[in-house]
Amino acid sequence: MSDVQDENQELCVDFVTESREMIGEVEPVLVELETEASSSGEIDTSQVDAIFRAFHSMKGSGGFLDLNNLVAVTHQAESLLDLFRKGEASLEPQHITVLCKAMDFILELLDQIENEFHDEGREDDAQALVAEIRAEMETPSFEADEEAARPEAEAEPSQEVGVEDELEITDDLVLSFIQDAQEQLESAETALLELDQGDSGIEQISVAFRSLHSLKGNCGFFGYAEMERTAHGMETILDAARDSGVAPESEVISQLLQQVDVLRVAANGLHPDGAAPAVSPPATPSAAPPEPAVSTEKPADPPASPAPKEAAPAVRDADAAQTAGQPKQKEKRKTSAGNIRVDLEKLDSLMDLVGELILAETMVTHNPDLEGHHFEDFQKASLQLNRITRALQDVAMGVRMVPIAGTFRKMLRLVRDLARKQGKQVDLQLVGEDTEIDKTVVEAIADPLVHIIRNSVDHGIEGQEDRAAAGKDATGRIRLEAKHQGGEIWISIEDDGKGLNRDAILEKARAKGLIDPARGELSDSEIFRFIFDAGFSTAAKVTDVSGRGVGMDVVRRNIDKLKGRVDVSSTQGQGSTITIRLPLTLAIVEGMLVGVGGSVYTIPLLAIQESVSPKNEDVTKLSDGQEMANIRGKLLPVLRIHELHGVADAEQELGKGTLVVVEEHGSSFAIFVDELIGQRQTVIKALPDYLGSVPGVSGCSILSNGDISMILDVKALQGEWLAGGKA
Amino acid sequence: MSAANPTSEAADPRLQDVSPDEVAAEAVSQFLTFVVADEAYGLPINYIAEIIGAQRFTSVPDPRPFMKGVINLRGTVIPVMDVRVRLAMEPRDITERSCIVVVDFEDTVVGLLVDTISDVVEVLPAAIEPAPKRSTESACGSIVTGLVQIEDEVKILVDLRRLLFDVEDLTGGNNDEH
Repeated sequence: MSDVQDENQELCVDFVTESREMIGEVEPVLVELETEASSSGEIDTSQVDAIFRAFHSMKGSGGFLDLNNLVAVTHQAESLLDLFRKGEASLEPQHITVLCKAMDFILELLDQIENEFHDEGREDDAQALVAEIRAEMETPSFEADEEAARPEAEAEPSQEVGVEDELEITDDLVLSFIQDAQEQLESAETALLELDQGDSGIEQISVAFRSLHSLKGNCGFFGYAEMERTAHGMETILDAARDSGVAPESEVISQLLQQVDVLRVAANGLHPDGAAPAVSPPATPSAAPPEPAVSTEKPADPPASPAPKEAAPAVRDADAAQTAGQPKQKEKRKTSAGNIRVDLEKLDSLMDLVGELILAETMVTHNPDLEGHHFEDFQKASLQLNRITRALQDVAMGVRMVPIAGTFRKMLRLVRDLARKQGKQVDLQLVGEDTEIDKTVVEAIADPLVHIIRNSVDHGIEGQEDRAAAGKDATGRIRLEAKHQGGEIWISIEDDGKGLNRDAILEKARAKGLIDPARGELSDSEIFRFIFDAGFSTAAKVTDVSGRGVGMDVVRRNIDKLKGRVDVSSTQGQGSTITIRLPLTLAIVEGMLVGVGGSVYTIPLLAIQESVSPKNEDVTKLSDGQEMANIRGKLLPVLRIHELHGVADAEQELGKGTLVVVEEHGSSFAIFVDELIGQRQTVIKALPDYLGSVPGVSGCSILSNGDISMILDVKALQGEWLAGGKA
Repeated sequence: MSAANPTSEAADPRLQDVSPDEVAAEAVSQFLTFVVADEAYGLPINYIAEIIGAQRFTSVPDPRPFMKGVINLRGTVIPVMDVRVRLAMEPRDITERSCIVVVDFEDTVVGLLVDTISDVVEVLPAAIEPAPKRSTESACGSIVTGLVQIEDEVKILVDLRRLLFDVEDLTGGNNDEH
C-alpha cells in the first residue's frame, strides 16, 4: 500500500478534523449523562447512542487508516458504552472519567496523526488505557462482556455491533440515518463515476469504500441486515480493487452503481416510524455475470460473489422505485437541516463584498448628481435596491452567526475536571445557549471563558467545609449566561463563591505601584479592574490551575481585541460576577455622520442620546478650562473633537455648531461638531496598522464620495480623554 | 483613479524598455527614482505597488509629524507619509507633479508623497558607492544605503525599512511601532 501514502495523508487530515468535531460534540453529552445518572439514576439511551456512534465512526475510519492504537481504545470505549446501552450496567462517575480519559487520549493521538499520519509509538499508553477501561467493565456490578475482551483492530465494526434488539430506534435516528445514507451513497456514486472516467483510481476507490463502509456500519447499527449485506459485498469488491491497485472495469463499476441505486431506494423506503425497513427487493442478485477480474484476489471470500451482482431488469425496477421515492427525499432534505462546511475565509470575503455593495448602493442612491432632481421611478427602484441590499446583509451576517452553545458546553467538561481535581462540588448552569454570535467572536471568547471559569472554580468556589461553615450549600454554583442586550451580547459568569478580596487587591495594587498615591478613594469596580493586569495575582500559592496572574490578562486582551468590555462586581463572601459585553458584529456600524472642519466623523448611533444646538450662555468654563454645557438642566462636559485631533478650519464658537450628547456606561458627555450630516450604515474598516492607535477612533469607513470617515470610539473617548481630564 | 497622473504614464515606457534578458540577469537591480527637494532618490522597484497622483487626504491624528493622513485607494485605506517631512524638510503644497508612490514592504502598505517621480534606472551592484559615514548618523542619512551616479546625477538609494520604521530621530523615541 506504499503507493497510496500521499492519499492516505489527505484522508488522515480529514479524519482528524472530523474526529475532533465528533469529540467536541459528544464530550458535553457525556458530562450531561453523568449529571443525569447521578441525579435521577436514569440515563437517556439516545445520548449513550450518540457517544457510541462517535467512537464507532472513529474506530471505523481509524481501522481503514491503520491507526491501531486509536482503534484499540475506541473499541474498548465502545464495548463499555455497549453495556449501558443494553442496560447491563449502570453508569457510574468513574465510567465517565475513564471515557473522558479515552477522549483526551484520542485527541492526543489526533494531534500526532495530524503531523505524522500514524499513531505508532503510543502502544503502551493505548494498552494501559484499554486495560483501565476493561477494569471498569469488570467491576462486580455487571458481568463482563465476552466480546469486549477480544481486541479488534480490523475495520469490521458491523459484525460486533450486531443487531440491537433492545435498542430503541427513534424517528429522529432513522431520519438522520436516511440522510447520512443519502450522502454516503452520493459520495460513493460520484467516486465510482469518476473512477469510470478513468481518473486516478485509488483515491476514488478509497472514497467509495469509506462511504460504503460508514453506511454498512450504520445499517448494522440499525439492524438493516439486507442493506448491510449489500454494502458489504460492494466493499469487498472495492477492497480487492484497492489491494490490487487496478481500477475495476467499467462493467464492474456499472454493477456497483446499480447497487448504489438499490441501496438508495432501500434507504428512501425506510419509515421513520420505527417499522422494519422495507428492504429493497432487487438487492438479491437475479443473474450472476462472470466474476470481475479485480475480485479474483479474494475468490475465497463467500459474501463477495453473490451479493454485488445485479441484472439489468432489476435495475430498471430500482430506477422506477427511485423516481417514486424522489419527492419524498427532497422533502426530507428541506426539513432536516442540511449543513455544509464553508471555509471561513469565503464568508469573510462575502461579508466584505456585501459591505462594498452597501457602499456602492449609497454611492448610487445618494449620488451628488441627483441633487435637486426628483425622479419618481428612480426613487422607487432605489428603495427596492435598498431593501434587497439590507436583506442580503442580514442574510450574510446571519450566516456567520452561530449559537454560543458549543462554546458553553465545552465548559461543562472543564468545570467537571477542575472540581474533581480540587475535591469541590460545582454545578455549572448554562443559560441562553441559543444566543447567536458572530463565529469569530464565538471562537475568540472561548479562551477568556476558560480562564474566568478556572478562576471561579479554583479561587471563587470554596471547599466543601468552608462552604458549610459559611452556611452555603455544599455544591457551588456557577451560572454562565449569554443574552442580547441592545446591540451587544452580554455574557456573564456568576459564581456563589467567596468573592473577590477587595482589601487584598488594593494592597497588592499599592505594593505593585499601580495606584497613584495622590488619588483619592477608589471605587470597587476600579479596584476589581486590577485583576486584569498582567502578573497580578493575590493567590498565595500557584497551583497548576491558576494563580500566576496570567489568565485574567489574557481575558482582557482577547476582549479588547473584540472591541468588547469586561466588568467585575463582587460581594465578599457571596460571590462575584464577571460580565463581558461584546458587539454583535465587528463588521458594520449604524452611525451619524458629523462634519468637523473638512473632515467627516462617524459617531455610532447606539451611543447617541440627542443632539442640540447650544446657545453660548448654556456653556460654562471651569477653572481648569473644561467646558460644561447645560443641556436640559444637566451639566455635561464638552469634548471638542477638532482640538483632540487637531482638525483645521473647524468651527470654534459653540453657539454656531452642534453638540452631540453621547452616553457610555451610565455617564454622558457632549461632543462638539460643526454640523450633522446624516445617518448612514457603514462598513467598518480597520485603520492601517502603520498608523498605530489613533486616540478615540475605532476604525474608519469610506463615504459615498470616496472620502474616509473616522469612526469615533465613544468608550475610548470617555476613558482616555474625559477620565484623564477629570483626574 | 490611478491613471490620472501624467508622470506615472511617463514612467511606464521605461519599464517596458527593460528587456526580459536584462531582468533575468541577477546582477542588475532596478530602482524607481523620485525627486524630493531637488535631490534624486531611488527605491528598489520590487517594493513598488503602484504610483498614483496626489489626492485629497483625510488627516489622522498621529504623533509622527510626517504622517500626512490616509487616502482611499479603491476601497483600501492607505496611510500616506510626506517624505519631505520624513527627511526633516519643510512640507510644501501639493502640485500637479506631486505623486504618491504606494509601496508594499513586507505587507505594510504605505503611500509615499514625493515631489515628483522621474524614471526607473538599472544599477550594477559595483556601481553603488557606500554612503559617507558622517551622513548615516543624521536623521535623513540613516535611510541611505548607498549612492549611485547616473549621467552626472547622484541618486540616493533609500533603505525602505528604515524610511518606514526607523523613525526614532523624529519623534523622540517613538520607535515601538513594529
